[in-house]
Amino acid sequence: MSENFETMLSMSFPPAAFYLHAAPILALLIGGLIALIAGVFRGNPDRPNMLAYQIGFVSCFPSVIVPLILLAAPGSFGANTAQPPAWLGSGFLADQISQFTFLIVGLGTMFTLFMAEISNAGRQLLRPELVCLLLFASAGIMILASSGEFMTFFTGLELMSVSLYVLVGYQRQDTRGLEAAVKYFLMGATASAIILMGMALIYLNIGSLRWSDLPALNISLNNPFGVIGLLMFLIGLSFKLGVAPFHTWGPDVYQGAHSTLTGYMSTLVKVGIVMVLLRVLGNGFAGADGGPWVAKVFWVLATLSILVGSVFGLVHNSIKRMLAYSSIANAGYFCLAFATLALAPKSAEARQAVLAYTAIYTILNLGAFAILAWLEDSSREDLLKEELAGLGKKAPFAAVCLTIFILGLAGIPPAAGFFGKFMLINSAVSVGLVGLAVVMVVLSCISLFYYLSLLVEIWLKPATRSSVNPQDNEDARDVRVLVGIVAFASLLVGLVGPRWVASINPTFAREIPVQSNEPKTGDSRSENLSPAVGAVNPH
Amino acid sequence: MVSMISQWILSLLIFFPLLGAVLIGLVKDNQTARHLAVAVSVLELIFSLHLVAHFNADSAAMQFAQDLAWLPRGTGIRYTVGVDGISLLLVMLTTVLCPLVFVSSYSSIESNVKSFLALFLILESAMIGALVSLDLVLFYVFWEAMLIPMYFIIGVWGGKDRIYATTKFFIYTVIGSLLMLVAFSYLYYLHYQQNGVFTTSIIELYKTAAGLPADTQLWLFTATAVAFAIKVPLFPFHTWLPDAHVQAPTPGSVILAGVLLKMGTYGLMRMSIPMFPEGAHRAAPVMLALSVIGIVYGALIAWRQTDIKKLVAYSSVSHLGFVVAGLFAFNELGYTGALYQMVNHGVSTGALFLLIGVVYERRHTREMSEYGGLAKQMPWYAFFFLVATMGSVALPGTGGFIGEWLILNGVFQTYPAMATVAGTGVILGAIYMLWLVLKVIWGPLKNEENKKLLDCSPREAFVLATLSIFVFLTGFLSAPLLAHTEPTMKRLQESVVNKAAYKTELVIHGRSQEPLKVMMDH
Repeated sequence: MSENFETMLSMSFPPAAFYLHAAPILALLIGGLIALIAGVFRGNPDRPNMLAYQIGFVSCFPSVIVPLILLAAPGSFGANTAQPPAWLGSGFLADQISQFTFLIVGLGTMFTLFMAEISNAGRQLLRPELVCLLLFASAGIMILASSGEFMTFFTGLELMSVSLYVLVGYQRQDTRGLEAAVKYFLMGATASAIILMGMALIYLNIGSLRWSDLPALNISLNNPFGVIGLLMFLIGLSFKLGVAPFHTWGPDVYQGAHSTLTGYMSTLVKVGIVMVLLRVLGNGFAGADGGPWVAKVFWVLATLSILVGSVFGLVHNSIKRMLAYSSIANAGYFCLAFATLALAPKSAEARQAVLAYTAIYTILNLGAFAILAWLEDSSREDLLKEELAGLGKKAPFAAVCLTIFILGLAGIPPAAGFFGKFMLINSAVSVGLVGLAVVMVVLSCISLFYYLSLLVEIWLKPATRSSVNPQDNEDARDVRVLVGIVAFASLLVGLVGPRWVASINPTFAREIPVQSNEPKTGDSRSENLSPAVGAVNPH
Repeated sequence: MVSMISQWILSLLIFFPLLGAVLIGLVKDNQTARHLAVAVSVLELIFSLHLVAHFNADSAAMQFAQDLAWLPRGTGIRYTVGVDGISLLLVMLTTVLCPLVFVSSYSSIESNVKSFLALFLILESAMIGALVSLDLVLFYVFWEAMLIPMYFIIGVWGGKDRIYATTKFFIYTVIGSLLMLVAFSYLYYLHYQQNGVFTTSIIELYKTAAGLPADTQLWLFTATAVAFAIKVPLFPFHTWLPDAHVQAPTPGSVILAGVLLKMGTYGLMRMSIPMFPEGAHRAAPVMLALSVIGIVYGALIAWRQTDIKKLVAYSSVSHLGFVVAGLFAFNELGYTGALYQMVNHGVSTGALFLLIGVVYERRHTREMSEYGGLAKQMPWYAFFFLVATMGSVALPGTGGFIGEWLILNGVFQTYPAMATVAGTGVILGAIYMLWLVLKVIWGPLKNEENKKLLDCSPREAFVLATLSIFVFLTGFLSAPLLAHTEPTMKRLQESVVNKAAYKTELVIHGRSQEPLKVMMDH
């Protein structure tokens, strides 16, 4: 009895190392609550609240500092690098994939907060609730990315989604924002329900919620509930990721939300979902048919998504809608790596490609939306393509940066996007998905049309009466510095390649068995990297 | 000292124009920026003379090589550059044409001068980079980097339909090059499967690729050849060229015809054919047929043009058809002729586009019927026009004659029927070019507007005279020039005929291998 109690105690209170590894999440949650309380005591609830902003900014520090230490010096604080530990059952995986996600999400959240602070429209939004919701959403993304089983995953997903539903409709006076929020909520709630149903069916089949037990799932037509369960789970995630044919909410929601928040939604939210898929698929599936079957699903999703993203983007004039379609196409590019992972769960190429492309895509998209948010400040929300005419003359620096981001999204070297796409193509080709690589390449050429049409407006057309007149004030200088750093980063990555992914260990953390008499199906599978990755590490 | 220079010369050639572009950004005054651009490109030309002076003409190796770490070691993607007989001539062509283009841009570019000059210097960097890279990814990065400056050069400084033309140019090229990227990526993995290491070194991949089964080779050959054929442009892919040429500003047209089109034939010569010899053999009848169709079709279309620039653009389709035909004859004559014809076409067509620019700046029209009898009003202009025409129609004594003669001889040895049809292209070429001369230069000076035209300014005369000298220089000095390329051509022909791997090696000057290895590791 007492022995059992001690075990329970040791399970309910994780060791000190857990708090260190989970510090980013905890800091965001606590910071969000403090920001909310700060709003009660300070100032007018309808005015921007700088104290809340500062609290929000500071609570992002752990999510930058802790991962940086753990990534730069693996093994510090006694962390186990060969077999990273999991805590809270499989609820929190303390591996480098989690740390990497924390870093991106932390930096992205700081960037979003900072962008809100230096644009006029953004400052109006900067009330304590916004800071709180933003931090909660980021914490949700981190929980998603570091979870190793369905329950924590769903907690993180809902924490993120519910915060975002509110954030999208945050401008209460704006009917378009409200419409977007309702749409997002209905679609998102449906997706959550589908995911839940899928989870239930999978649990029915394997009797476990851990992703490491997913290989036990029998994927064949003899077991329809297992197949349907997995399919529902994947469909739900595709909804959240914005993969066609489950993309329809994307453009409306992106258009309705404020650009700073659109940037946040189109990047960091996807980072979380992508990491979940990386972990789920990285465990592999049972049987000779399981993997290829899932790969086929992603084959279809990738093709449809790239097709929709590239073709539908052509007809839109609103830049935000266009970028929404671009992000649908990009979600399709991720599916290339997922199809690879389904066929070869241990593929180091695919894991590195996913990690590299998430970071690159986040940098490019955040930068592009930051410039949009700044331009909207001096014009109106939801800029049209034509309103960029003559930007190259009026604001050359912003125009150059925007050009770098657009060329990056189009995958033209020397901007960063090229190496991301190159790695994705490489990963697909490495398992023989040459056809899918060709599909991606050919269809992505179509999307060049709308990327180029933006460049045409910026550089090749003279300014008209309706084109934007960005103001040169103190905010503009801040924006220039911030966006300049991001543009420089994307050029640097484009010139030296995503070197950092080579030093990230893409091994998943595993639960350390507590009781030896309990049978575990998945834990005996030890995960080793292929020799190629070992050689990649320059140190 | 010399070996030190030899080791770094290619990197200097790649990055010096980039440095110039940065300097131009710092200069305030347009005129100073123009002088600076000329100075940078002339210095670049002087640097590139080092290559000619120290090139070992008896060797087919990759000389002046440099091999440094770039991406993480496990990926096998490195910064590897080197020059052999093929790239030497083309690098020289680039460094010779660029200063002339900058000199000519004094009068042809009026707006946004600094951006133009900076973009052009970036373009020069990318072109030289693409010509000397010996790593597939490095090559691809430079190849795509060439697009961006050219996109803006046509788009900002071009004619009325510039946006349509530049978008078409960009998208055509990118479709091809992305297919090429997939082929490279596939090859990269095949090499890994066979050898257990990743590499993108072109020299290493020659060995892997040549050993592949014929079907695989054919697929990979097709994917890469389509990319290069679009750039050349080979017959069914040529439709972007007339648009791009007509809309581009004069300096853009010159460099497009002079160097950028050669990137396509260079790619065929460096990658497609030696890498996949078996595939190249299988595809040769199709490629030859397309190039012969291109020769005749381009010539016939050129004959019917009334716009001078369009005529010269279609003549490029015809002339580059010869180059591709020479490449697929698979003998030394064909290769040598093709390479030589690339240089000649660069010189003579470059001169023609400059000449068109001269009258366009004065009259703002390119319609043939607007001109006539210019010889009376502009005697020097007429002289240079005739020289460039002679170069273009391959009159004996010009380089074009030697190039086309070698190509036709080469093709005749393997495909006599094709060579016979291609031969008509020479006749048609003479017809449309002499037709152009007749309409523009000779005849009565009827149009009142033309009676006010001034002859070439000293600046224009300098540029045109230099190119005219080169037209004859290539004609009379073909032996010493081609001596530099002979070993490379021999080796290329041997490997292709035997369907064996193309063998070459890096020659790194002045450093033993040991310290280099240490440097690579960090």
